[in-house]
Amino acid sequence: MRGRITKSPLIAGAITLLISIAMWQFTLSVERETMRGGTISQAETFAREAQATFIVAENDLAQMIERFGRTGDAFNNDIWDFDTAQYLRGHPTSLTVTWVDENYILRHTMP
Amino acid sequence: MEGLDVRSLPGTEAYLQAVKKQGAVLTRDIFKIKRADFVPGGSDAWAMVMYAPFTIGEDFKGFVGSMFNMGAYFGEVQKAFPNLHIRVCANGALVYESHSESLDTTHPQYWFEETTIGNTAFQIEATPTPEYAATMSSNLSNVVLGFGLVLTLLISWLAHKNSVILHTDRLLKRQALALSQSSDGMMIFDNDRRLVGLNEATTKLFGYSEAEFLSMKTVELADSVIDREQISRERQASMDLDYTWRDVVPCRTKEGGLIHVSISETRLDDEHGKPMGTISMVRNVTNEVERNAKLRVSEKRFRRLF
Repeated sequence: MRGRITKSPLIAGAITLLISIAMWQFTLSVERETMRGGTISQAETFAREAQATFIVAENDLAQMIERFGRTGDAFNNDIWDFDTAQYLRGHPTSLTVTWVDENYILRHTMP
Repeated sequence: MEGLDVRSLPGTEAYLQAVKKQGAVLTRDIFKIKRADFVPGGSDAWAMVMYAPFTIGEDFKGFVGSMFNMGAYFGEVQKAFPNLHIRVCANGALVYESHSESLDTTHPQYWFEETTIGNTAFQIEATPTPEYAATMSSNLSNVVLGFGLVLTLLISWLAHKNSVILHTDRLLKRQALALSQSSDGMMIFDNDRRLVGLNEATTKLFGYSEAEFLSMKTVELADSVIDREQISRERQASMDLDYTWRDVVPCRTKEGGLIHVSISETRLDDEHGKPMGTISMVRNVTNEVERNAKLRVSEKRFRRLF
């Protein structure tokens, strides 16, 4: 009789506790999924941004070459200085812009 | 630097030949440079170069290209993502890390992304900053846990209380059963003064069935009892004093007849000495009461004669 008194509250408490823990874990996993989704989305955007910014740098370099070609002057110092300065301003992480001639000799470096 | 034959740099000739052959901008694989060559006092850095062939008309004039510090480059991109800790690796080398403390890659919010720039594959490891993680967390899980623990305690307490009540009832009914053979009326009440058991002699005495009795709160006192509260008070005082109460009270039977009942009540304890109710022995003393009343009337008459 005495055993029955102590056992039933323990069983009821244990069942409720297990259900509570299960619900807690469930809500935790939902929160984690939400965070994971948010992080994935931002990481993907970061990767795309990194790629897109580099493509812009490539396009800007191609356009600069085109302008040089249109001048008809191998390397007009004024144009070179102006264009390369503009390019470096547009891409502050660019360390340098260089011209290597057809014989693989480094001719101009900016800055 | 100017006047340098770049063919002396490893792999450069083949790369520039490939640029010339492609006829467009071509980005070279990431490589490590001695940054001190470009920035006085600068530390080594991971760099990428892109070169384009330069022509005037049909004349090939060489190559124009730019060099990027990839650490600084990813730092610029990172500015738009202040909520993330970012680490970028390429070819197994750490190229950029947004925070001085290392990333907790075992953290569940850790995420891995890969992107290709030029020919180089970059691995991006991202995890939310603690501040950002806190804003994304709704704290619902903590609320659920707290509520669950409170509910657990409540249910355990209710189950314990219910278990004790059932246990006491069982004990009291067992006592009532043991007393069922008694020729005197026996009634057992729990601690809430709820009638939980009685014997056959009690039902015969009052004329109610057992079911009728159990649905009643207590024995119905006769109309002639003027101060019921006083009886209750006297009973309680006596029970508090020595756990017993004795009195003779007029009661009403089911048929409406008046009977005088002697009640002897005593506390009933369980095996641990804890009070679980009371047991009352009831006896019909109507004849004695009436005989005493007649005797008192006779005495009064006798005294008037002298």
